[in-house]
Amino acid sequence: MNSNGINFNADHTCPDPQTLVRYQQGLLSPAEQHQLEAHLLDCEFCADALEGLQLMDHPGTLLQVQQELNERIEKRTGEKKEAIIVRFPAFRIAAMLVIVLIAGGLIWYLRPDTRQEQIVLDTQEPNTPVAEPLKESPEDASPSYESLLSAATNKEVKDAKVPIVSAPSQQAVEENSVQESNAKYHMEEVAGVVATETENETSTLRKSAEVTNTDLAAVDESVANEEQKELTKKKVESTHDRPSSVEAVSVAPQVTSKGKQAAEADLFNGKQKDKSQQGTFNTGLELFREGRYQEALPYLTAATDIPESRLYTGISYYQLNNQNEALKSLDKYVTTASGKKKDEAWWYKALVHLKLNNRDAARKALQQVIELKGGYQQRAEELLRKI
Amino acid sequence: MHPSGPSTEEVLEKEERLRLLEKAILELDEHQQKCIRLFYLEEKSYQQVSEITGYNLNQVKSYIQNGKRNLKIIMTENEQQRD
Repeated sequence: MNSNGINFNADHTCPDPQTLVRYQQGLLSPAEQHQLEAHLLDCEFCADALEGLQLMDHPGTLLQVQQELNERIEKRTGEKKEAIIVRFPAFRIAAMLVIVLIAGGLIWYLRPDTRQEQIVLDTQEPNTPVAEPLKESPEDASPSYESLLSAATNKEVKDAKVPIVSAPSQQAVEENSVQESNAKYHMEEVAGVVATETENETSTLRKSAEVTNTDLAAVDESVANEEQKELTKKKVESTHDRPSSVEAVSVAPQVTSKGKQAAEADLFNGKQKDKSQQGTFNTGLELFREGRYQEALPYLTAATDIPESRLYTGISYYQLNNQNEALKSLDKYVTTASGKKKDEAWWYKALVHLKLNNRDAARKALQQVIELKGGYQQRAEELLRKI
Repeated sequence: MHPSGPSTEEVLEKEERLRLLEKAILELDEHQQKCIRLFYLEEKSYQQVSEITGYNLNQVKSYIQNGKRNLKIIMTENEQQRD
């Protein structure tokens, strides 16, 4: 099969029109026919062409038309070279356009720079006048000068200004300089303070981070004290009814000691007497809050009558990384009757167990914290999820 | 096998595809099967197919066209199943 070399299909080289015409005229051999038919099945373009041919009365004329067209094309391709030459200026025009655009872009790009320079100049120029307004500033400040100015005409004012203004101007300049020096001093001061403050801050931050827990604890402490007082009062009342209630009998022994404590606490708070252990405890607590655990320990351990001392002893030991002692104290506190801060104790027990790598024990402690539903509940829940 | 020819794997793959094609042809209806076999495997022209089968030229043409389309559908289905 003859091929015109034009490929309208990805897989096949399409037959030339002549082959199509010959096929239509039944002039191809069966093998050629098959080849063309196979191609037509895959090539829509040729199939369409053949269909078109079949509609023609004299398909043979197509070949004549094609020949004529080819001749014309050949004539035109003779002019191809010219056409190419004609094309070149188009490229040149495009190139010129590009150059012009680039140049324009560059000019545009450089423009803001000059503007900036102008801005800089504008800002610099007033530098000299800046001093003048500064000199004139007292006028603005004092209404007398202003009224003077408004009373006089502009020129006269300018003339008058010089002598009048000269005195205050010096003053102003001095003031300015004083202000400046003040400002400088202030700046230095600030710089120094900032430097020291940052140091301080870091340390205080560190401290505060440590202390926050204890702060909260302290708040709880005071609340607990008051509540304890109320409790003891109630229980003291209940001790009066001792014979009638069996429960009260069991509570009684604790109550007496607690009542004592509370009474002592009351006395201390009332600043009447300071013979109780409350003072020792308070000193310990203060040191504890400041993060001076080692120093706090002797006071806290001495205040054996105050249950909370065991809690803070425990926490102090925990902070000092003496986990076994911490656990002992916390266990003691947890087993004592008064329970306002048991959640805290359990919380620290959990932390201690974590430090000791007793995960199960830590989990149990955290579950205790959650059951107690105190201020540590949420944190305990979070921690429980993590371990 | 020619040294620069297809590898054993490729040959096997082609064999497999041919086997599937043969199977697919069997799935076509009688007319399409007949025309497809004559046209593609025996490389006859429409005219010859028409003469052999007794179908007119347009029938042959449409059997071959439809048969070809159906084969393509069957083959792609089979390949998808293989994947």
